[in-house]
Formats: sequence, structure tokens, C-alpha cells
Amino acid sequence: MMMRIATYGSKGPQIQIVRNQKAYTKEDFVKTRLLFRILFLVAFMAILSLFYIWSRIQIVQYGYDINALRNRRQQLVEENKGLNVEVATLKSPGRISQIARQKLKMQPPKPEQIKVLK
Amino acid sequence: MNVSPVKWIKFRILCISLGFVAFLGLILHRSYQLQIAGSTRVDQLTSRQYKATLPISPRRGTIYDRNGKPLAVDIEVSSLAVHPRQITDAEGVVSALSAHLKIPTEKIREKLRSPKKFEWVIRRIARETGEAVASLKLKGVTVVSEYRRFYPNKDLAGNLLGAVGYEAESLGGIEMALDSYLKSDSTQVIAQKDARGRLFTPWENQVRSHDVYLTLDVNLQFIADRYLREGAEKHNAKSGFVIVMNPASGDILAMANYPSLNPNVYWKYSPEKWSNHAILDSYEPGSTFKPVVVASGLDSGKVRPGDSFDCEGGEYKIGKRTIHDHGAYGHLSVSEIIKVSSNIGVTKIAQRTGKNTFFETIRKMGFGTKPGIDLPGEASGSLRPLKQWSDIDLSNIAFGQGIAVSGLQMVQAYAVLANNGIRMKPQLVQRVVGSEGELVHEASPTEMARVMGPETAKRLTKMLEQVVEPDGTGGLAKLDGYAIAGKTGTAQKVDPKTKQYSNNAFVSSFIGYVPAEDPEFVIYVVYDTPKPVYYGGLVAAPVFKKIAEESLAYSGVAPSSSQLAKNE
Repeated sequence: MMMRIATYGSKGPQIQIVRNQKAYTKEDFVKTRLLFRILFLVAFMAILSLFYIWSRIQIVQYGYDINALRNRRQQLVEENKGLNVEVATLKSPGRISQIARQKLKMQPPKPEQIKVLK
Repeated sequence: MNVSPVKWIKFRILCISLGFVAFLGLILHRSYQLQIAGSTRVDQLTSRQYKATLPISPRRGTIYDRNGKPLAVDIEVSSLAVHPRQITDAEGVVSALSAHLKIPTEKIREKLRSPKKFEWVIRRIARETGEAVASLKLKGVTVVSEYRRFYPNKDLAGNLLGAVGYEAESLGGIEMALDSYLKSDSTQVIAQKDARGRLFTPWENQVRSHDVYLTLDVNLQFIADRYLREGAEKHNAKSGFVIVMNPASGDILAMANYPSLNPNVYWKYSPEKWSNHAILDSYEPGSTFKPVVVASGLDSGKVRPGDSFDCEGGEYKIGKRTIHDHGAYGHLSVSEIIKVSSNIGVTKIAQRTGKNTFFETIRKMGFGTKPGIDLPGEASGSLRPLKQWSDIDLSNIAFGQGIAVSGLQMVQAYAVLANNGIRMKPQLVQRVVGSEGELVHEASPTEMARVMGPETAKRLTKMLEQVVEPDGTGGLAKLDGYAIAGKTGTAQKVDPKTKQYSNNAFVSSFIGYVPAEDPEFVIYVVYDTPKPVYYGGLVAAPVFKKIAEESLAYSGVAPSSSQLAKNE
């Protein structure tokens, strides 16, 4: 049960709220509000800190992942380069010319055999 | 005196509070010391813990031809090393390594017995072999990734490209000239590591090197190289070179040398086989220089195309010296003087033109100065100052003696005739591209000088076309379907022992441009001391023809129907 009663004390007239036979002054409510605010702030800071720590851990983990991907990329780049070199060697004019002349018995065309299409 | 309990409690609370405050103050003070005042030192200490500096093998960018075909490329290879003091099972290591490597087991044992901490076993083997050895996880054995320079076309343009040594140091040629672009700008990378030594952030100071695109066309290079070699072997030449250049842009499309160098195995070649004769050698050009004085005379107006000169029956005295022709010619026109290559004829043209005008034309054509292609050892030739010229010097220089030129200078000069009288700067580098594909440098055609009027260039072209007629000295260069403007050269070499002109050592050459009416190529073929045949018209002209024929076919330059009809 809640009641509102007026009292007169050294601090002048005060309104008190009586709830379940216990008297709460306005000061009590102010103090309680303040306490809740402080608790809320502390909880907020704690959550923020946890979030910060979590994000740092994530960054480190992503760092590992990025590094692994970078190494894999580098490996693929080198493999690709090696393949390009192989292609260049197989397509080298000397080799092609040798195959054309010796295996396929081909000859360079004469000027009158060339028709340029534009 | 009795202290009230309340006051005593309050006093104790105050003391404890002050104690806590003092303790907090100490902590704050220490924090300030560590994080603000001494932050640099702390940074250094922590950096050592979490930062790793990793040495990396130096890398070089790729050299491409103008069409993006690789001419020189770094490939990843493996090198094997051992730490002898860490090896506990020597025989196990020997048998494991010998199974993968083609080296004697005794050599491996010798490395393991070494008192040193670190010994290379073998360097620059295939990456796959290195990976196979690494997977064995042998204690005391390290597999290191390195890079090796590889030239897929072997000795094609080898003398021009140069080579790269074991520590990625450039050894001549393009590799040396463009070292600042090609070589990576760092030999280490910085990364963050965790307590186990694993790397967990991207590396700073990434390896960056640039790729270079040359103006060379690898197919034209092959054509030039093949026929140069054929000619050199047929005529037993000591050496030779071919340059192919686009006269309108100055682009060097091919630069072949004989003998040639395979940079993949550069250590097997003696120093003289490394020479890029096309740019290093200075020599007397002989008759190929004659068009220069004719151009000078025509352009200055002192000689007209219709003029004729008395060639004195083949002997002409100047002071104590007698100049000879190959034939006993009488009066010859300017065109005929070029066609039969009369020394007396060009001497008289030079005399009428005058020293000053002739000298000015020589300088404008680029002789006596480096063409500016920026390759190591680029020759500037040798041109005596005008005030030192005597009358005999005027005549000597007119027919190509008494002046030393390089191959590139000659090509540059004939490109003037092919390009309506304008001298273009010879170029070897087309562009430089960064590691992210960004353009770092791009060359563009550069006009160096207006040497003569377009009319003079056209007139000279017509005269040079006569050289390639069947009754001209360069008849063997004639190509069905195409008009060729060219000149033969057979220059006596100076005997180093007698210091006199030799009668059995010559520089044989042919230089020309094709098609004459709209030149696509200037081609210069030179052989040093061919034997027993040595005339330029017999040794170099046929090689020019073969190179021109295939180069034109490759480039899709159609033969002219009027030329084809003419030849029928």
C-alpha cells in the first residue's frame, strides 16, 4: 500500500512516500535514480570495453586470414608466371620456325603469294 | 586525552584513503613514465616482440617486347642450405637429399662436415624440388625461396638484354641500363607476428619492381637474327649486326648480333661474345656515307640533281694523294655517282658543297654525338672538328673514311631520308609499368632536328632506288613487289699493326629502307671481315633482302602491284 504524508523536520516540510510501511523521502528517490544511472553507465562501459576487445581479437584473426590469403595469392601468381614463361618458351619464334620448317615442311611466303585484306 | 571513537574512525578512513590516493598517484606516475615520457623506448621494446623484419630475395620486373611477349622474367626457384651443427642424423639427411637432387652424395657429406653454421648445398633449383625437400621436414635443412632470371627466347636479343647475376645484379645491356626500374626497391618486408611467430598482418614495404616494355618486336628480332647468322656463317665473318628501325617513330624493332649471347648461361661466354656491336662498335662506314654529302649538296642548292661531274677516268689527285674508283668513269650524273658508288664523284660534290655546309649536315644527322639510347657503352663515333679538316679529309669523309660511326648512328641518318628529312630519336623503351599496372613512364616519338627539306629527301630516295637496280652495286637486295632505296658499303679496315688500310679486312654493309615510297623499315646489315667474298653488295645485300621480305610479310605490308608489274 502506498501513502503520501507530509512531515516537518529540520530541513523544512517534506513529502514522504510510504510504501509497504517503509518511508521513502524525495532524497531517497534521487539517490536511487543516481545509483541506477551509475550502474547503467558502468554496464555500458563494460559492454563497450568487451566490444572493443572482441573487435581487436577479430582484427587479429582477420589478419591471420588475410596473410594466409596473401600467401595463397602469391603462390598462384608465381604459378601463373611459371605457366606464362612456359607458354613463351613454347611459342618462341625459333621453336615455331623449326617445327614449321622441319616437321611441317613450310616455307616463308613469297611477295606475290601475300594478299593483304583490310 | 580521549579521542572519540567516531573521530578515530574518521581519522583511519582518511589515512587509508590517503594511502589509496598515494598508491593511485604512483600508478599514474608510472603510467605517465611508460606511456608518455618513455614511449619511444617502450615502443622499441614492444616492436621487437611483435614486429618481424624478414629478408627477401631481390626481384626484378619483367622485360616485354612491344606486343607483351616476355623477353626476361624472374621465376621462383628454391635453394637448399644446411646448418651442420643442428644435424643429428647425417646419413639420413644425405640419402634423403640425394634422392631429390642430382648432386654426388660425397658433396652433400662434405657440406654436412663443414665447421660453419650455414652452408649452401645447391642454389636455384626447381621450386617443385625445393617443396619436395621441404616436405621431408629434415632437421638442420632449410629451403629458401629465391628468384632466378630466365630468358625464354634463349640467345634472341641476348646481347641487347644483357644478363643478371646470382645476387640479382645486372650484367650489361638493358638489364643494366634500366636497373633502377627493374630492380625491386626493397630487400625486406616488415610484418606483425604473434607469440608463436605466426604472421598476422599484411606486410609493409611490399616488394615493388617495374615491368619494362621495349619497342622490340620478338618476331622481327628472330627474322633479323636468323638471316644475320646465316650470312655470317656463310661468309666466315668475325662478327656482325642488324638493326631494324621504324623511321617515322624512331622505334628500334630489332637489334641482332653475331655472335650472340644466351643470358641463361652467361658464364659460358667469353667477354667478346657479350658485345652489342650495333651500339658499341665505331668503324669507318665506307660508301654508305656517300648519300650524306649528296644530301648536303642538294639541300644547300650548291648541287642540282641534273648536274654532272667528271670522274677523271677513275684516278683523281688531291695533293700527294690519289683517289681511285672501281671503274674508269667519265662524266657521271649525281644519281649515277650514287648508283656506281664513285669516290671521285662524291669528292667533287663535297668540294662544290664546301666543308662548312657538309660538316653542318653531318652534325645535324647525329654523327659525332651519342644517339641517346642510354645503353651502357653507347658509342658516339669520331668526327674531327671542322677546323682540323684538310682538303683530303673533305674527300675522305665524303666517301666514308676519316670518320668513325656506330651502327645506330647510320640507321638514324638513313631514317632521316626515309622520314622526309626529319631526324627522330632512336628509342628502345616503349613504356614502364608499375607493380599495380600503373603507367610510370611512356616514351613518345621525339623529333630531334629538321636536317633537310622533304624534296631533298625524296630526290635522294629516287637516287638510292637506282642502287638496287640490276646494274647498281646493290642489285642483290632487290625485292619483287617493293621499291627499295639503299646503299652498299665495303670499307677497308685499318690494320692495327701497320696502321695502314688493309687489303684483306673489310667491313661489308648494306643499308636501306623499304618500301621506298612510304618506308616501314630502315634495315642495316653489317659484317666484320667476311672472307673470301667481302663486297657489301655480295655479302650484306642478300641478307637485307631476306630480312626485308619476311619483315614486310609479317607486318602485312602488301607488295605494290606497279612494282610487281615492273618486275614482270
